[in-house]
Amino acid sequence: MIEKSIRKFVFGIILIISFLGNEGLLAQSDMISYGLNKTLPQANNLNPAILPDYKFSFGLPGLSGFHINTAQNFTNLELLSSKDENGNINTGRIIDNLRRNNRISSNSSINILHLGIRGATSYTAFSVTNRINARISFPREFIQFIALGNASDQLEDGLLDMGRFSTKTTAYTEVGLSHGREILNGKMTVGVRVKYLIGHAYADIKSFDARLQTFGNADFRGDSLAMNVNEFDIRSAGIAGALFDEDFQDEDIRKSVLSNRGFGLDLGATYEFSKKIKFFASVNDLGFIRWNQQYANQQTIPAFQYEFSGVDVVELINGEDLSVINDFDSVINNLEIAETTGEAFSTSLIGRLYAGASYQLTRRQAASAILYSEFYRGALIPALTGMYNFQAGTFFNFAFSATMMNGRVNNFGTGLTLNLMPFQIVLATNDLLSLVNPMKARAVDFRFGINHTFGNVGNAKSRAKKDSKNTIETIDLGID
Amino acid sequence: MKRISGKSIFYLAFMVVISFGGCYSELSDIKFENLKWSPELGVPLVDSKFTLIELLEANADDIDYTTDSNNTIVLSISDDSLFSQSASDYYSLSDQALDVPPIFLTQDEIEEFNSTGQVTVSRDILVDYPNQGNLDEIIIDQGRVETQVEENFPAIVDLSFSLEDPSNTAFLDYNNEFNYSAGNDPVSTDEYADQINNIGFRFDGDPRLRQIMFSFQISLTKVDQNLVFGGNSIDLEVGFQDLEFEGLYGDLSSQDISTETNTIRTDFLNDNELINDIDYYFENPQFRMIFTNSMGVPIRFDVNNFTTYKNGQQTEQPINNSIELESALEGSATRTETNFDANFKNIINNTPDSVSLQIDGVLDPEDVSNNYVTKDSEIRVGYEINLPLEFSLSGLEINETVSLEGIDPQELQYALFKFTSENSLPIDLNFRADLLDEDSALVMNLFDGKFLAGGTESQPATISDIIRLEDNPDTNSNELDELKGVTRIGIRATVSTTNNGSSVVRITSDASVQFNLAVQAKYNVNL
Repeated sequence: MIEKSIRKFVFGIILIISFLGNEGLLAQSDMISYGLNKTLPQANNLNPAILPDYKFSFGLPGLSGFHINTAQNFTNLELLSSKDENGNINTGRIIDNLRRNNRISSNSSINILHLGIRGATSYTAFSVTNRINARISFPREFIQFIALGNASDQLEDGLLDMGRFSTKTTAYTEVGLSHGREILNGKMTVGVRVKYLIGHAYADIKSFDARLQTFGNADFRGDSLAMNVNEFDIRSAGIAGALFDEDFQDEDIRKSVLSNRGFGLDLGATYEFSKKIKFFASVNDLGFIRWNQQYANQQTIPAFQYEFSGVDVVELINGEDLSVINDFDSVINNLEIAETTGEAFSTSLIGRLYAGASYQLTRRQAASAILYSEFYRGALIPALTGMYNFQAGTFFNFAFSATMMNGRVNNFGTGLTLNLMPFQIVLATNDLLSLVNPMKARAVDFRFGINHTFGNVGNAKSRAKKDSKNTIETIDLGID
Repeated sequence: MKRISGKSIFYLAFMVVISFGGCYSELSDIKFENLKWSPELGVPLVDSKFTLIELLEANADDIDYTTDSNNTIVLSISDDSLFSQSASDYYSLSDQALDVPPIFLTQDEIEEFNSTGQVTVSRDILVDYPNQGNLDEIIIDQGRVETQVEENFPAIVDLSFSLEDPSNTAFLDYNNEFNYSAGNDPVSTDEYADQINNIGFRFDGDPRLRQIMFSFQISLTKVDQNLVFGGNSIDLEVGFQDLEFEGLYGDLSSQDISTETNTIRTDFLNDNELINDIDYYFENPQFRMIFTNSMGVPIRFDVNNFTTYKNGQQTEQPINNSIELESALEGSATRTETNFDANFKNIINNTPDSVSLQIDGVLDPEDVSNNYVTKDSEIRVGYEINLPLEFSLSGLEINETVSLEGIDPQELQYALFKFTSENSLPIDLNFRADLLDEDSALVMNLFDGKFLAGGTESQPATISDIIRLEDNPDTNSNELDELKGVTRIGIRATVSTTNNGSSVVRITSDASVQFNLAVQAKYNVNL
């Protein structure tokens, strides 16, 4: 009984998580970390060719930080709290501001462990990061249907078309080993990160195509109802798939969250065109997770239709079984959900591309332009970011960004690293507007962490340069 | 490049803090309250397509229906035992007493008794069962045999006897010991009765087939006296009583059939208080009388007249028709059907309140000698009215009131009821629904108009209308609020055939009514 309750609870949590997902929402880009790349060890995760200035850095579980990004594209606090002329929450305005496709996404990464060692011309890092990505997308009519009812004239043709509904949730742990080094006498750096992925849970509903239509006209809506659901799949794996198994045992929890393997690859490069101009590019998350067949499950819900235009009063008077009820029972009885188990499947990571250039304004200030794109379902979703960076050695680094998407600047980001010896504090957000004006916020993006950093290659190189008369280049390992 | 001063950074930080503080102060003012949920729901309620036959199946158990060769619906009202009587109402078995001779001892038996003090005697006696009238055979279904025994032997008498019918089946056993004490009166009596079943006697052949065998066993024991020849006897009185026959065969007597004046109801519409006077005309009504005889006796019925009653006035319509039924073979029945369509058309189209039918008759009118009846034999008179729905109708008005506990619309903002009818029946239905308060005063007229319009199978008539109840904030008109005072709904439905019953229409089995009702409503919920 208790096991059943726990199982239900866990399943509920997974369902909730699955409902925090969305596709196509540019929330995963971590531009501001790119801007802090010189002092933020985790920036190496974005481009393994970036070599931080620290000689040695590490982050411990619970301290090295997390990055949470939750976003949606259809409402904000101002809308949700607005009042109509009667003092009621202005649901009409909220609904009017819904988009045709409404999306919610939640992406979080928690650094379990980070270890980075800087050589004179190279940087090697080992990291363990837990990631949860969840996305859901739903059509405007879905909310209209719930809020306004099926007879609302705002539902075009009385149609609730759920064809644009989809959801996807992935939880995995990434164990990465990266190495970057200078080539071409330091004019260029290249890097690669090989990632071993451990999939924990996966669930998705793709191409959910359901329609509920209320027939009528402008004067009256409700003549009849028709529901049409095309075949769709609910695919799950890991712990999410194991929960569908009737023979699920507690010992399956550990196995199901650890038995899914995958690999990923990050590639990066930087090129110093001149003393002031530098180009950089990286491709992230090229890879896949192969979900263990033992815990892979696919529920195929067959297509079904049901039409309702009222009860037959003659049947009612005769005391007969109502044919509408019989028809509905027949639909339900014929709804044989096909379950496919024991078939492993792979899911690819969402690949991302960063490419840009920086211009060194002064010794401490730089400006950058970064192009970001996601590879999602064969499409490229681009965004262009302008970045200002102020760096005072390894002590203080500040970045401010403005991102342009769909032809307009719609987001700002900022962040800083502050080295308080012997640890470094990181605070950053890729969505400054939401912090500055929470009433209109559509997203929460926040990075916080404490890294332990030692040494400064910049100082060492500088001193080495100053001591260039020495035959042996020395590197200062003192705490900066 | 100009160096950024600490002062600048301070001012920038100050501005950021101020602007952040201003923005976040709005958060404390947010109140997520007074959320009003006002869904509009549209739901179909009724989707029915029915023919008149389906409607009759649902509502009128006592009306049968068929279709004729033109596919016209024919309503049938019938009663197969408007009048029925069984053979036992006319014929019966009377009580009978058997002529049983007294039993005396022979000289030898007396001498044996006197010399030995004891004697045992056996006697078998055949006794005729009396014929009743001039019958050939009777079979007694059940009855009672009563015996009275009297003996006057001055001795102890142990008497037993049994009765057997002509098929040698015992149907009564008797046993008794008559004590005697010296010096006392030797006369003793005893009575005994028993039920009998299924005993038959034939009177038209072998005499043994009408005789009952008495078998006696008598044992006498001396007490103090010798016997003398012819001085003592055993006397039996045996009677058959409360007899019911299984069958009577032979010359059954003629009998008059006495019927009551039977009333055939044609007021099945007018019987309903909800329905006012109606006018109708049936083009081809049929009235058929069905006579059935399962007796082995010929019968003649004399159908004398119809008597109609309307508004307290009685009118007789003579018929004077004789119906002859032959005698039936045993286990079967003879049947005769006779139509009185022309008479009935006049009668029913005069919209009578009721109709009486006067019938006389006689069993075995020619007094033939070879008859029979059994306990299951009967005569039966039934009727069947067939009304092909080729008719006109007007003035059918149904008035009804439905009580309500009071309607509380609560937060209902509006309700729309949409009905649509597509009618291929040649019938118009006008409907009026009034909302009334407890003083029967009109609160609101809900609907007054045509609900169904007469159509044809090739050209159904369609009607669609919407009943609207609304709390209109723009006009301060709140029809829904008025519902609170409603305690009854007055309903008036007026039905007529097309053109208000001015011409004869025909209703076929395929003609149907498609009726749809749906509701659309908006409800306000404060969360």
